[in-house]
Amino acid sequence: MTILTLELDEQLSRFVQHQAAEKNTTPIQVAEEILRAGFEMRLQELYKRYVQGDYSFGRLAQEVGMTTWELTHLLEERGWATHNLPAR
Amino acid sequence: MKVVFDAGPLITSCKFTVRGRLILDFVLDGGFVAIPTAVHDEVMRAPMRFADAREARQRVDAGKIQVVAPQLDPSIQTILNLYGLGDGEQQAILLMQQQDYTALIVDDHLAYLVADRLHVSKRFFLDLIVSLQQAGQLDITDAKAIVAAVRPRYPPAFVEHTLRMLG
Repeated sequence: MTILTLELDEQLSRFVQHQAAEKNTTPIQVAEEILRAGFEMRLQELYKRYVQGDYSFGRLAQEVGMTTWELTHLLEERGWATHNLPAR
Repeated sequence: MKVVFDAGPLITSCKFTVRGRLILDFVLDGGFVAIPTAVHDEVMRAPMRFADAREARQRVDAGKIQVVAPQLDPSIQTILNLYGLGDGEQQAILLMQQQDYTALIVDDHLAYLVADRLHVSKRFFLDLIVSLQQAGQLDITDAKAIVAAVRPRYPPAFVEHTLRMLG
């Protein structure tokens, strides 16, 4: 677990505060949810590039800040293919 | 047979077992396996909760897998940088260009294509199993069991074709 300090501009800060009030939660939890959603979206984009052949598996791992071992486990947990070989 | 392993085949061969024996150990029986330093770094950085990474680390520590540093070669690296390869794949291809290995064992589509364009001898892990069996270094029953065990990591056509090659 890593602790980050985020400095938000006024617009983002108001959004986070509003979401926290709406969901009856803390701004930190809202920021964490947004980061997690951002990671998922980025992972899907990068995985697509891997499947299309723009990136190798090693490069995909580097782009998401993981080792190839961690990435293999992450993809398998999601039921995503770890290979990028043509199916037919 | 002297081969260089990319990360993918190393991870696969450290994950699955046949008759209670790690697949990597069947390969080590039949040949010499080297990995470039970038692949080794990942083995060392992988969380210890992953049993496959622990198996790899044990074999590196025991000297059963050789860790080799490729020499810097700006002319080739300039070419490799054109592609979306990771450090491990780049070093594995460099190593093949610089030293006398039988083949690069690689399952990544892009890395395979780049190796091909650079006239690097390469094989999919499944084809290494066929080669070891044909060279008499792997029993046919074990070879087929290995292919069946690693089935989840390959497209069905690759697995079926390999089984037919084994006869």
